[in-house]
Amino acid sequence: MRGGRFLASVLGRALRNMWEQRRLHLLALSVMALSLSVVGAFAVVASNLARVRTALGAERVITAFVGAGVDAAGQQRLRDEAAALPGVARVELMTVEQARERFREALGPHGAILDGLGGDVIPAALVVAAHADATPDQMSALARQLGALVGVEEVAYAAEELKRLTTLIRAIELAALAVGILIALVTVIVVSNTIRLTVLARQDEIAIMKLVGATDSFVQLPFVVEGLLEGLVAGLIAIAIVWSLNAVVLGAIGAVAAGALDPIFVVQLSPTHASLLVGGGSLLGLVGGMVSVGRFLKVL
Amino acid sequence: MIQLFHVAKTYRGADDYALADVNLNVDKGEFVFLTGPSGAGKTTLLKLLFAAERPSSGQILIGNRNIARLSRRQIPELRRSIGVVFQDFKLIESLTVFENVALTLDVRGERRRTTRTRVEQVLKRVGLLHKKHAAPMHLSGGEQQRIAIARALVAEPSILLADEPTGNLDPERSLDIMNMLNDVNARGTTVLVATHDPTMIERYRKRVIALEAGRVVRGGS
Repeated sequence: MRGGRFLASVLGRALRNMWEQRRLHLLALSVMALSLSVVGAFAVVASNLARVRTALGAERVITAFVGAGVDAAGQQRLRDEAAALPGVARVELMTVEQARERFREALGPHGAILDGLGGDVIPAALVVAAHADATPDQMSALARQLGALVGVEEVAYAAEELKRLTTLIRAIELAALAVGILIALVTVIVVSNTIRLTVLARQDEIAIMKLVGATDSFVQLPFVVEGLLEGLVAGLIAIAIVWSLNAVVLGAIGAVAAGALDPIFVVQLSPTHASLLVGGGSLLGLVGGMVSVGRFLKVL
Repeated sequence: MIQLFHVAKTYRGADDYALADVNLNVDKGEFVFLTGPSGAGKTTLLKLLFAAERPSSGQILIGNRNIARLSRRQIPELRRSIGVVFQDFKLIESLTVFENVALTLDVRGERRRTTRTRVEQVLKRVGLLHKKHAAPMHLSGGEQQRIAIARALVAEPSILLADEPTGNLDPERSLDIMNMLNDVNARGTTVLVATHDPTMIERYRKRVIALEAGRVVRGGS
């Protein structure tokens, strides 16, 4: 059979089948779209957390808080000692006044809150920038050395948060994988059963086609195309659902945090993830279509 | 044209042979009645010829092809060279008369224009051109059988098999259908008709192959 006419015939029969069994297909489409949306939602959450991890991982700064009893000369001495430590690129001394002023700026219109607080609430600090190529181990070593300096009360840097976040992201990724596998199975079962029902409804028609000389592929392809189309449309609907939900969530965050969380929490469904949803949906639909009709053809 | 050598067929779970040691020869252009009581093996024999069933043993030659050795992939090609008519017509309810007949050409990928021309020609031949847009289920049994014959003939097969083609029809319609099959044979097509209707056999005086309990008892060669 000539290619173009064969494809047109296959597509035509697939669309006719879908229209005639539209209720069944609509149900299967809804289940698939919702299932793929769950996978998409996981992907968005994982993407956002991965961005946070990258942002924190890029941070090579350790803050060493200076005790309240250390005077200005002592603070200068601590700054010099910190600067002399191996792996340190730059040290900035933030006095109590500077720290207070920076905090006030961060609070914006609520900065007046600080007026009622005592002078020693916000301590002076050394903001120590390590070399850009410092490894997590080197950062830990440097934090320990800064903590050992006389006059330094506490050391803070992102390593712990990073570790916790990495664990959280890994857990979410594993959950996404497990849910993804489960959903893939559900999708194949839903599609193959939907198409199996349409195959059963067309059992006589298929038998007649075979009696007049139809090949297996002539009979099978429309059903495979049905699965493929169903998966494709479900993938597109899933993208729309995830995108809309994410937009609503981002809008809510924006309203509450007034942009303070930018630029970390601004990731939408990426083109790669969107393509995977459509491609994955189509592939699962195609597999479902092949499974359903393949077994049936053997008995004809 | 059609040769069977020691063909036997048993169905799974059945004790008796559906066909046993069948030997027969049908020449090109012949018209043959296949007769016998119900359960004699007429339908099984026809099914073996269009590969709806496989023989348990023996060889079946159609032209130069050994049907017993055909692979699954080769079966459609065989079926395209044989037209088959059934007692229950086997028409697709959701398609029109035209579409039912065109199906035979659609599965071969014929051009639309060719399909239209040939379907209209064959519908004219069976007297149903004026009903080409009708739904088959709205037509009489005789008309439905004529659609089935048109579907079997539209690709101009070299062999036409008919399994009790008049089984569901009244005598007048039966005669109409048999005349049609006779006409097809007159144009050169080899025709095998399975029937247990003795009036038809007497009326047309063609070669008769009689089966009983799966064995050929008369007219095998």
